[in-house]
Amino acid sequence: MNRVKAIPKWTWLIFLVVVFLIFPFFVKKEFYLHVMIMTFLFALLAASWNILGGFTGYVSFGHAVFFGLGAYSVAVLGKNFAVNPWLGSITGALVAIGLASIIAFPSFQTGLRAHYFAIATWAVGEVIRVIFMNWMYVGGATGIMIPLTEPSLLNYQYHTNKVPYYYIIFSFLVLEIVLIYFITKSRFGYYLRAIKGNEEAAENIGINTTLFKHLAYYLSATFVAIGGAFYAQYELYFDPPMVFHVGISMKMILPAILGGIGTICGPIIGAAIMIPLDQFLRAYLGGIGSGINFIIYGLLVLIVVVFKPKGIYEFIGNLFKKGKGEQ
Amino acid sequence: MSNGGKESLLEVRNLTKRFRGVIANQDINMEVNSGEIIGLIGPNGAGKTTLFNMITGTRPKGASRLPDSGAVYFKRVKITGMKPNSICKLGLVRTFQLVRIWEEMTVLENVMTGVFRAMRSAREARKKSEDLLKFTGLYTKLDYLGSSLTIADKKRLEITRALGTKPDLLLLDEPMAGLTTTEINEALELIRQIHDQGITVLLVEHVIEAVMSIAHRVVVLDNGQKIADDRPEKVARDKRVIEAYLGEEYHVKS
Repeated sequence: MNRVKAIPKWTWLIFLVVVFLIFPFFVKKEFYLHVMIMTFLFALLAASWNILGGFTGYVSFGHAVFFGLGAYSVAVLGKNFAVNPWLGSITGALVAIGLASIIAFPSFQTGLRAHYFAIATWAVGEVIRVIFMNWMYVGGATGIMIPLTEPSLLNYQYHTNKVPYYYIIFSFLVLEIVLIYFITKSRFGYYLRAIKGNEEAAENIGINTTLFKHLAYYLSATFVAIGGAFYAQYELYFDPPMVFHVGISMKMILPAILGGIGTICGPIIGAAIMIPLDQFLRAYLGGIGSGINFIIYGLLVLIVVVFKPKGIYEFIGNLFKKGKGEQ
Repeated sequence: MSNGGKESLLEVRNLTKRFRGVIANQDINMEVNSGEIIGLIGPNGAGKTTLFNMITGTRPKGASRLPDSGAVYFKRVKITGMKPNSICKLGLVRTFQLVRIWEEMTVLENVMTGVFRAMRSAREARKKSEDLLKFTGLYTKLDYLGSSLTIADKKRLEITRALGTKPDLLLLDEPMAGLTTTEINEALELIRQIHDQGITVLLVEHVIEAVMSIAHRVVVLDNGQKIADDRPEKVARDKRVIEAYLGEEYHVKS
């Protein structure tokens, strides 16, 4: 069989990266930039969620909690201690890992199965949201503002100019995808998939499943917290429902399911479909539309689960594979 | 030790395991020496799988991995209560009665995951896995998804994956169940080849003829107790074994 189309996958990727890099030079409308930024952000979040939920098979319904902790860490540290937001982001990641370990130890050490783990994460997420709603030190229900400083990369804020935010979140996303790519090619990636496939078999083949579940969880939480910190610096004001709401967790899970759970590109493809849809629906429907976006997500996921259970990525992937001789 | 200069690899000492009222293993003593092929047989419910679980640290459903009393030693190290992954690292690995391969991974990826226990580099692991697949005869199916294999190939894959962890002792839980006669012969051939590589084998099997033809020694369990432990031809003539298990006299093929 001739393998004529061995290169296209890479050329397409490079082409896409170039298109995204020059996008802000051609599209000046703020709203479109905003849609792109949100798409990149949720692609990052969905890909992070996918490390644990997709590759390892441990579905978390409470990933918004790490998003919120990332956002609150930069905000609280910046407001009360004038800490640089980059340092705040790192702190946010550490706080997220801290909370993840509080959930992980009782769950993984006792061998809590995946579905109970899902419930546990959801419950913890809700508890944390309620705490932040009532915690006056962090602004309570009225929310918190990031102190305004000179717009610069060092200060991680640009006020009205969205272009730098566009490049920052795009870089984060590219970095994350590259890292995940290398993970899937490494021992770590194989181990995560083995845990998802059959945990007992993995354990018997010499894999310390507990350890690797911990690692996957912390890595996942870290990226989500970094995303949360970005969101805080981008919006410059937020309240607990904006960052801790279950809807945020859903916006990480649904793109992954839609695009293809446990694949590298799946969550990104999913986010590229769902987030613009969400933004445009909101823009055009305004106040009446609250909730309609979730109805449409539901329909989309339903269609995909029925016709392409492995997600849209599988469908696209098959198109590329046509050139390779299959038995 | 006393057994003809052979080194004892695995020792089970006074092992008892109860599930609520049921005694699955009662005061079991057995030994596996380096370089042996041991067959472990017994009627359904005799406690073979429980014994396997107790040796490898696999947790039986809804019960503790710890025995009620007694202990298991591997290379003189007490492994009772250790987790399977730590036991595997010492060089003891098992397969399962109902194959547990990773269906969503390819044949090669399945084996690589096992091989990663011994090496970190993906490139080396791939090479080593390809060699192992050539050895077990699955090389041509390297790209197949685990789920697409036949039962015989799935069992073969599970054994290949186990070999990837570089074991000294391989525990096979009914590797021939559900296979055709031809496939059984191929499986026996594979076990002989594995043994030739210097790996000790402990085999639970229902296909008695197969066990009798390959094992150096056969251990028989009945009702949780060990009732025989001897060379195959002797076990086949043992009154208690015939009564408890075979039902009728079994003749060993010469």
